[in-house]
Amino acid sequence: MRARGQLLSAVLVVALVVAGGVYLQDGIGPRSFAAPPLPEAPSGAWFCPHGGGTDWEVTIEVANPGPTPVRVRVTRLGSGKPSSPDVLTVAPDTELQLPAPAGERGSSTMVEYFGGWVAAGWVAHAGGGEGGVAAEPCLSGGGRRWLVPDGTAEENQDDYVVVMNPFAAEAVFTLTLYTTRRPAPITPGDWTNVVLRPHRSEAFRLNPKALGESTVSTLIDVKVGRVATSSLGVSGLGGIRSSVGIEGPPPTTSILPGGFDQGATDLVVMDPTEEAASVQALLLSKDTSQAVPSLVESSTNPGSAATYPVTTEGPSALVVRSPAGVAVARRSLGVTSDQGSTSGTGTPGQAWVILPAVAGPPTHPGLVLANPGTEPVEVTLSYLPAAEGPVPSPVTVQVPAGRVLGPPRSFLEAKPFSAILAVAPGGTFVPAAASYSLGREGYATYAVSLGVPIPEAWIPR
Amino acid sequence: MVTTTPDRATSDDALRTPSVLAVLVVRNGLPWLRECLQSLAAQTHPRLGVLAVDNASIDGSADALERALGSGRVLRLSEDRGLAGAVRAALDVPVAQGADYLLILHDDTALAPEAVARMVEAAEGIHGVERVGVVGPKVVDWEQPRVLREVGRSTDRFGHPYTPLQDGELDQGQYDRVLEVLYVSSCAMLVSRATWQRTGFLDERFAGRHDDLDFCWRARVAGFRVLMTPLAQARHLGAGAKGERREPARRRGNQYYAERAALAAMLKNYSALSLAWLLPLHVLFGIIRLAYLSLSRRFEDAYELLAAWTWNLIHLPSTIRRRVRAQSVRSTGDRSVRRFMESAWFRVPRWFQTAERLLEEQLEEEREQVPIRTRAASLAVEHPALVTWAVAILVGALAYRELVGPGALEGGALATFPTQAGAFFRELVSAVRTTGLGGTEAASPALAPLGILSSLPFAGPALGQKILLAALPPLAGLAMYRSIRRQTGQAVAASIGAVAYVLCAVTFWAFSEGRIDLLVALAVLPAVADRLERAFGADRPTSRWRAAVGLGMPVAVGVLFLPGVVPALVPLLAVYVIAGRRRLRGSLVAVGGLAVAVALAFPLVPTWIDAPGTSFSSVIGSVDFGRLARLAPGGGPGTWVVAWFLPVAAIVAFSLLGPGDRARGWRAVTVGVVGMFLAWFASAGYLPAALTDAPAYLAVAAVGAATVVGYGLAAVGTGIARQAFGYRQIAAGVLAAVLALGFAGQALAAIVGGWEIGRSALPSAWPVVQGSPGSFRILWIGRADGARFPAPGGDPQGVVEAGLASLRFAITGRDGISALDIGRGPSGPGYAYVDRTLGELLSGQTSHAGALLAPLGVRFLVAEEGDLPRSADERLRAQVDLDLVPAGGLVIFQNARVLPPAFLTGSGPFARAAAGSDLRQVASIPPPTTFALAQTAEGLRVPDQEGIAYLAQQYDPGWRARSDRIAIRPELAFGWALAFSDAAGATISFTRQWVRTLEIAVLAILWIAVLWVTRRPAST
Repeated sequence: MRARGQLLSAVLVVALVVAGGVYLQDGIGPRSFAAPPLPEAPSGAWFCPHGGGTDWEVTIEVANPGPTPVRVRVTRLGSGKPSSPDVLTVAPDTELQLPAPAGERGSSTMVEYFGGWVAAGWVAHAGGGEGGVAAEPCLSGGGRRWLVPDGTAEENQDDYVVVMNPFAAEAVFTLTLYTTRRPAPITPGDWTNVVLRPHRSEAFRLNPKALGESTVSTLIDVKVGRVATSSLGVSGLGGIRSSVGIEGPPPTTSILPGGFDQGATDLVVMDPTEEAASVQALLLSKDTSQAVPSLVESSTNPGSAATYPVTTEGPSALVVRSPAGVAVARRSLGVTSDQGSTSGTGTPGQAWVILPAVAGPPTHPGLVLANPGTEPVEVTLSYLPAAEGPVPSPVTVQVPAGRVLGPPRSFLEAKPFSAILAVAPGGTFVPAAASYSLGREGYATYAVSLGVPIPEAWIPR
Repeated sequence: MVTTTPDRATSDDALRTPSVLAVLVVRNGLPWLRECLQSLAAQTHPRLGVLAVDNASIDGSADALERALGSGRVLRLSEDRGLAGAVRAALDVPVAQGADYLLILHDDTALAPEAVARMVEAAEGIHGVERVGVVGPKVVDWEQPRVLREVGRSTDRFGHPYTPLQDGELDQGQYDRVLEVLYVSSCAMLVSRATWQRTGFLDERFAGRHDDLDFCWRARVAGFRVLMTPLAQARHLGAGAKGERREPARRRGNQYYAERAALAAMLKNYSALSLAWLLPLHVLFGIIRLAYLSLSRRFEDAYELLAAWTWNLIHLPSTIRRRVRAQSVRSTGDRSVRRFMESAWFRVPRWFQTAERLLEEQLEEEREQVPIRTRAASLAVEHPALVTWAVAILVGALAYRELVGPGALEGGALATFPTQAGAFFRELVSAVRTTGLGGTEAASPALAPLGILSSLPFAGPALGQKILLAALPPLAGLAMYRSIRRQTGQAVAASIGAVAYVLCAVTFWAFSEGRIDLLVALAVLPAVADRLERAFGADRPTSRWRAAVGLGMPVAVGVLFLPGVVPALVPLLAVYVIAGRRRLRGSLVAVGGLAVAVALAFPLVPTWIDAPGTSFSSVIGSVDFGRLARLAPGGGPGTWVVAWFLPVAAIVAFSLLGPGDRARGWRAVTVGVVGMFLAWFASAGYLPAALTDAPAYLAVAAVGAATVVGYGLAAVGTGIARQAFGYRQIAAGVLAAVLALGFAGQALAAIVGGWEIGRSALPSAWPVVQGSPGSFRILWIGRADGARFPAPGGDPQGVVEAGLASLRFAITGRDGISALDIGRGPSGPGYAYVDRTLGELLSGQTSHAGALLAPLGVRFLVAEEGDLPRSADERLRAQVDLDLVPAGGLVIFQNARVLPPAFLTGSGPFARAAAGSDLRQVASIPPPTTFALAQTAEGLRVPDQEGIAYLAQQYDPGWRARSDRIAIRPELAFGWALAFSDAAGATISFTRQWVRTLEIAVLAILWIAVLWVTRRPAST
């Protein structure tokens, strides 16, 4: 009897262990971890591979849409040692414009910010016998694979890829060029395993490597370190353009806002993949949305790049759907000989900062609000003034679904050198500045600059 | 020994009968003197005279001698001059100088009637045996003449006495031949005149202890033979050794006198050439012996050894004088003397004899055609410890084969040992922590044994590390064996329980990972559990105080190596307090034991109180209950499915317990089950940090399980064969099968090896970090999953919670986890700063984690490939100032903003940021220009420039920067570190070293006291 009792005890122990173990493992499970702590010291950096040239004037624009002052540290990079950093503070709801010496094609600027969030971009005004304005938002991070679709090596065009290494480790990368006519990508020997020292920036001229090619797209494959890139096109006819690189893999849907051009826009499609890709594009305008005819029933050649003409009018946006790995950019010609370029975005956002794309008076600021969605969206625009003076009241505009809208000109012209905060509490959209400036009538130069999306945590409520 | 053939003397020789003077040395020998004198009177030798020397007896022996011999034959000495002094006094008498032979005789020795004649006959009458200098009789016991006491003696090469006789060996004629020996006892020793005149007589310094050895050795060196003749017989009482002689108690044990005489005899009698190689060996073996005696807490024996060496050191001048005399009459080489010595390893032959006996038994059984299985079983049952050790040595040798070789071991969680043993002691006594983020937290006293082990001759820290790893699993088994053996009295059950413990998953895991701390805990926990069982059990301990100290010491040892033993004790104590038999007594002993343990670790106690969460916790563990139930905290050899054998065997054994064992069986099973569940709760993050240590809980569970196995086997061993066939027999069979399968499987796993540690077990990318110049720290990071870091990162020190991006982390010096941190956790405000910084990084809102980590001196962030949560990986890669370094096997980020650990800077932003703890300021510090502080003997010398001197060292107000009689107090930098303003040209040092020195001195005294209280009795 006693032995039986001990056996029963043993069975009970086993039952307890098994039942307890199963309950703990499957019923309770490990304790879940708490959410990330609230940030104490938000900070970030913008990388602006704007390029430059003799007598160029580059302005770095930094806008603070937040409620607290943000400290920024600006460092200029080039082929030599980096400059001593300038430390400045951007007051809440204002914009700061900093001239950035840019005497080299490969000039670039790093903007670090502390204590909040700011948007940063640049406006480059060519000088020294070259003309035109280019504007782009800066890049928010370094990467290891970049695609720069926009480029051409035609006559009267000097095109570059600006590569900046703002980091403390050297970068080693290879540039591969994709063209329309050449059956295979070009990998120049001297552009293979290029070593870019820490805190340096350099421009790579495309023309000698792909002379005469109408479309030259560049893939920058980084083996060691990180870089940030952009294109820089200098036209012999007196215009410049630049668009930041797309960190791979590129989005399969790209939204490329722009407009107010002379009606001629090029869609550059870069296909570094090994399979032919079918690209579809939708042109959104103020009143309609329609497929881009030049792309219908066409497909890209693998390992190539091609340009497709698109006819536009007023504010417009291209919504391009492409297979994985294919990158696109929009190149527009202004009413004069200046060009504008953008590589767009893959994600519409709820709140944006649109930095001005004008280089000086007189100006014709333009703003494009593209709604690629299926619901109309109400966008409230307010200024983040760059200078003292009266600030117009915010305006709210409704952008219909699948349409593009330009806000009231009176609002835009009130503060043409100030950034605009655009917030759509109930939806998402994509904005871009497409502006003219300088010259006698203010139409001498043309630039397109995508807005800067505001991260979720920093959207003003 | 050399046997010679007895031969009768020729008739011519018989005409000249040699004269013999018996020198009877008496000291308080009245009770047995009469018999001695009667034996002398009965001698048949015709020319025998007697001269008695009384060594100042106080019992009337002198009067009795005078009555028996007449006053003319008795020399009364006014003081006890020992045997040698008495003989010297006798030699002053002319008749003694003229005698052909002197017979030295103790007063407690009775000679057979023909003894003297036979000895003289042996000295002079053996054909072909010349120059016989000394002859001794066969000595038998006084009261039991069939028991042999002396048949001549020998020594090992180092002069330690050796007798071929076993205790109580009966005289069956086995030594009945004249033997040429190294020496004979002075209780009855016939010495020729030529011998003593040439060599001198007994060395008076030995005071009658082993002076016969030295004298005979000298005689041999001078070319004389020493014989033992069985034809002469003497009965010897050994009154002094038995304590029957009235004399003051001896101050020293036999060990002392033997060791003293051995070394002195060596120094006197060996030639210079022999001494040149034997003396260093003697010293080496002496040190090993000393270490063994100390480790086994035989302090009195160790002290006697030291005292013997000291005596020889003090008497070295007189020894040298005597050596000159002895060597001046040398007429033969050491080789001819060594013929009569035993091997230096004279115990080894005994082992062989035992083995031979076992073999003979086996052969006998083979002849009787006993099945091999039965023979093996009978061998294991009759010699369980021997069989266990033999198998363990075989398996161990195969298991350790990968670890043998030059160079230190690395890999797993093995802490990096310093290159020099002195580093252990320096860290131990230093008031400043040199590892982690610094600070003033005391080092664990566990560094003392590590330092001592690393300091042993021929052993460096690397060898010490290997010795520890090799020795700790068997020590754990030994502890478990002793525990079960004491509780059950059964060697077989204890042996199997011990093997089960050594082969369980947690022991395997600890060994594979090189977790010396956990292995020490595994070695002490059986002793702790046993002492608790004793304290709470039915048996009455001899003394509560001694029981408390006996409990406190292993607890302290365990805690000093693995603070996690503290939470592990909770279930153990709880079970005994709730279910023990003598709860009040046991509780008192337990409280006393804990108090002793606390006292023995008192320098660490302030840290334990300040930061229990980091002191006792370990975030290592698995939430897989199945894994924990088979007692495996992680993966690796021996943690496979076979590891189930121990819990399964424990349950089966539990079901076999009889009524007498059930209470303690329940206690052990409860400990095992509770330990298992607590391990899960700890791994799953449900326990408070101070109670979180899954491996320690599993170690306790293993103790419980192995103990139950021992109880069950003991129950099977007592009477199961007499019971009717039933459940118990079936269960016993199942238990045997489970254990056999488990042992075989685990032994196979051990033999196959594949340990995490090894001689080249660091990741291939590690040189990227190791090759970086200068001084820096490493931040190890990885998914918060309870695993360790890649070697040599060790275990995580904490977890930063950030949802799916949560990380475990540890901060180490440039060599990874250090053995100097054994028993010491991360604590202090610096670790809180690390936590804040990583939290900031994981929030995804900063891009300047490098700048935030710069004040810590962190140059590298290292993770195992694939071990970072995706979101954390993305956030790390997004940092402006952290650069991914190309490396295979590891993910290494180099901090572009790293700062040296000690520097001067004139940077205003740095000074402003350092003055507070605002991370926004820290993140935005531009890279400052720094000037290194020079290390001098006095401290860190600040360059003679304006600025702020910064030390990436946890703050303590005891630091000062001194210059020109001005002492500058430190400021708190970044909320955790040290900064000194206006310290140009000053020297920075810590001013409270004296407190630590005092602590160490007190600690040493406490440990000495506790070791003394718990010492083993001296050997007799």
